Amino acid sequence: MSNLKSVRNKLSRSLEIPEDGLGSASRLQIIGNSAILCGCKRILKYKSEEIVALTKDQSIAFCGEHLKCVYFFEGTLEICGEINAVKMEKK
Amino acid sequence: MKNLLYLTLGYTKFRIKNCYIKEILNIANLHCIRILGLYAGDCETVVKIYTRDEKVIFEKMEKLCVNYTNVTRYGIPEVLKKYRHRAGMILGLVLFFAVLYISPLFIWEIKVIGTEKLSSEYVCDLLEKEGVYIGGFSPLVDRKSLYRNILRTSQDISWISVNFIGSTANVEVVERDYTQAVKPIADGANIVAKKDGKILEVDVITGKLLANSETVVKKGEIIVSGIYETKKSGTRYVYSDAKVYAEVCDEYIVEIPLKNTEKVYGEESLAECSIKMFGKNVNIFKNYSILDDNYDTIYNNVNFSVLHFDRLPLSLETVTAFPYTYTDVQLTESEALFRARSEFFKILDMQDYLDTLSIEESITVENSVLVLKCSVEAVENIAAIAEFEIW
Repeated sequence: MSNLKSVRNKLSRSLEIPEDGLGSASRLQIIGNSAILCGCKRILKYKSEEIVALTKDQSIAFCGEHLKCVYFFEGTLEICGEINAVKMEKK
Repeated sequence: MKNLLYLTLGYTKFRIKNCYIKEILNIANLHCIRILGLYAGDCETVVKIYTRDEKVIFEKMEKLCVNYTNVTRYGIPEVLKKYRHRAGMILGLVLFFAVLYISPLFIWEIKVIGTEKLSSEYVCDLLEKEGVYIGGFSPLVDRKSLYRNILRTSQDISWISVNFIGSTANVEVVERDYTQAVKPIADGANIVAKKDGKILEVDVITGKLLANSETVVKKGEIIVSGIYETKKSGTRYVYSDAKVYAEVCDEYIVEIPLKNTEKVYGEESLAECSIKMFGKNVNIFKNYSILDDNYDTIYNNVNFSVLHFDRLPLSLETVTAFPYTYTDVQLTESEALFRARSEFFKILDMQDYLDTLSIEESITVENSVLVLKCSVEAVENIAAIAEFEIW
């Protein structure tokens, strides 16, 4: 698995394309008051002050106020609210 | 648009406690179930999903011991399920709209206008051969060939037009006018004065002018002659044509009696009401107490149309009756004078004056009758053709 990962890494660097385009790497976009996370497997914690999402190799915690999930389908999670901090923790 | 899609496919709403939102989201993501909306409240959250996904999500929630309440379904699939035993009603609705759409495509009424000597039946017989008849399918009628064939078949029709408005075929006919046929022309004609007047101007097209401007002519006097006498070619006869503008003086008398009997109308009432469908009349109401004497009637026909469908073969015919009585009316002199002047101006409008130069009025009242005498000086074309034959 780690070999496959390193092959993907090398291939994406040599072809100059983003890693998530080749494999299952997660992608996080924060636009204004919303955050979109692609590659999310499940939600570990759901509260209005903190939402924790699990991806393939890390967990990402969104901290803030009045947070809510507006979309969660086929691995794409969208969170709206006042996001104050985003914490990432590798597994 | 989104809501229209949800209603078409059908959606379900149910409530869960706020602590179970995480479980719902994970179940939905794992089983590729789209959550259409999450409406969080203080203690509970309303979840909205497609009805087709509710079975899967409820099964998973029950396995995880997630309680849900207030399950409500919306949309067309739910309505169809609710009324699935009322197939007859749905079939009836479908048939109704089908009849609404199809019935105007057939001809249920033929209205023929413009016929004076020819009968409507004759015109209808000609139309029947071209596919225009009661019950005929109007889109199949080829109007170009219809006009061509009818005008070839019937020598009495010079022009015909057929327009389909809803289920009514409106046929306009212009009959051939045999009176306009070329009349045998006389050997010649003079232009004479049709009334007394003082000539102002003569516009001669053909003929020999005998009277100049400022000449006073009497009725019947020759103004332009149709006889030319020359030394070289002898006597020549022509059909004179000219316009003779002259100053004329006409008198008009209008009498208005001061004591009059006039019609006074009472309150209207409905005399008859019937529905006409597919060319047949169905009587709904008739007031037999209304007699033909002392009632004036107005016929009204209203065609029905629904939404954008053009005029169904269905119309409402009503007859409204207005009762009247004759009462004696005493007019004042000013009222009678007003009426007399109105009558006079109506008569004046019917004349062919080019210009009205002056109008002199004299008013007298004799034996309760107001007499208005008007002397009018005007400019008029007094040319009249007087033909002659050479024996």
